[in-house]
Amino acid sequence: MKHSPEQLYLEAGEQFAPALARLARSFERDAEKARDLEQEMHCALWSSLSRFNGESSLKTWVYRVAHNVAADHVAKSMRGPKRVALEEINNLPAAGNPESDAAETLVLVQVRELIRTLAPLDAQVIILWLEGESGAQIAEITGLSQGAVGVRVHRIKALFAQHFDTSNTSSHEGATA
Amino acid sequence: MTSYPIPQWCDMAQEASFADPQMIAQRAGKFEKNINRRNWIEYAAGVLMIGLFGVGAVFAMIKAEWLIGLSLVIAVAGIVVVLWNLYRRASNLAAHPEEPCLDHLRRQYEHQMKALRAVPIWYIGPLVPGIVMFYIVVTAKVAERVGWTTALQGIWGPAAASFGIFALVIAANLIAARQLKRKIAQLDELA
Repeated sequence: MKHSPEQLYLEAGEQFAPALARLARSFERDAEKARDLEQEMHCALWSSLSRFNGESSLKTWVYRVAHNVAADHVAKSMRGPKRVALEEINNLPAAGNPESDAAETLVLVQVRELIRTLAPLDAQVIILWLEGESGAQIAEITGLSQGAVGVRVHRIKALFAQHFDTSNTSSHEGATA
Repeated sequence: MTSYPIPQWCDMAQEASFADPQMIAQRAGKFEKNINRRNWIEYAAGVLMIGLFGVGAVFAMIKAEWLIGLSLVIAVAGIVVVLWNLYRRASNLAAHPEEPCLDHLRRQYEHQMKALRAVPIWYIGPLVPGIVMFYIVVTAKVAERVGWTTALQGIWGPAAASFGIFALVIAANLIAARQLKRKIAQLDELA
């Protein structure tokens, strides 16, 4: 049965509102601008759903719209750090403003900083991976080959593993000092 | 079963909900207004130039300097063509936010690359006839009084500056277009 755009919008809201909020807050540090970006995603989704024909799943559709709006937002921002490819990152970046995110663990702040540093496609892959999407799903949403997704996921796993190893070593050293 | 690499990640923003559809419709209108306002600011600079050249053309005509007046009118026409091209090129990228992210990014890059490559035609080209004619007419007028050698010596600096700026604009845009071409090639490797 074909759903109306309104029904699809409500369904998407029930399932993906938190994921889109996380996406907006990952790409935009400023809370107010992040809220604007989130609503811009809602707007684009609302307008696009009249074209939804079920060829892809609703999840794929929602994520594509939201990620493309986020990438356009980054492209429009005149200021901000130069974005780099994932392979150029050797460590998780330092937390930019840990005070403002006191409720979050440090690693989440660092992951967000990393995402804001990366070129859009790399950032998109990482966010979808953090959302628990499989390599095949990430490939379908982004249009990257599964191999390209795999390379990026492998890289980010290695970064996290290295980060946690270093953190553990530091805390052990701190405990024994 | 879905596995979450950092479970705390998905614990964030659980309170989030989609904006009310009615509010979304209002917001879409607000976006349109913002875009319109931004476009008007961009076109205001062009309108100012048209005003300056237009006033110059009127004064030249009043003083019966018909050729100078005509060159300024051609310059104004050139600015109008550039503004029209800006409008056309800014609005002809269809919005398909539901396409795969790679295709979306590629489409954006390709659109920008084509616009940058074509700068000599759509941005610089329309301005050249009026400016060239203006320099020729002014040089000829000055030459009537002081001779061609002195007139050409006087016009050389300003003309070189004008066309030097044009050359720099073209070069900067072609370099940017080449960088975009490299980015597109990199994207194609990821597909």
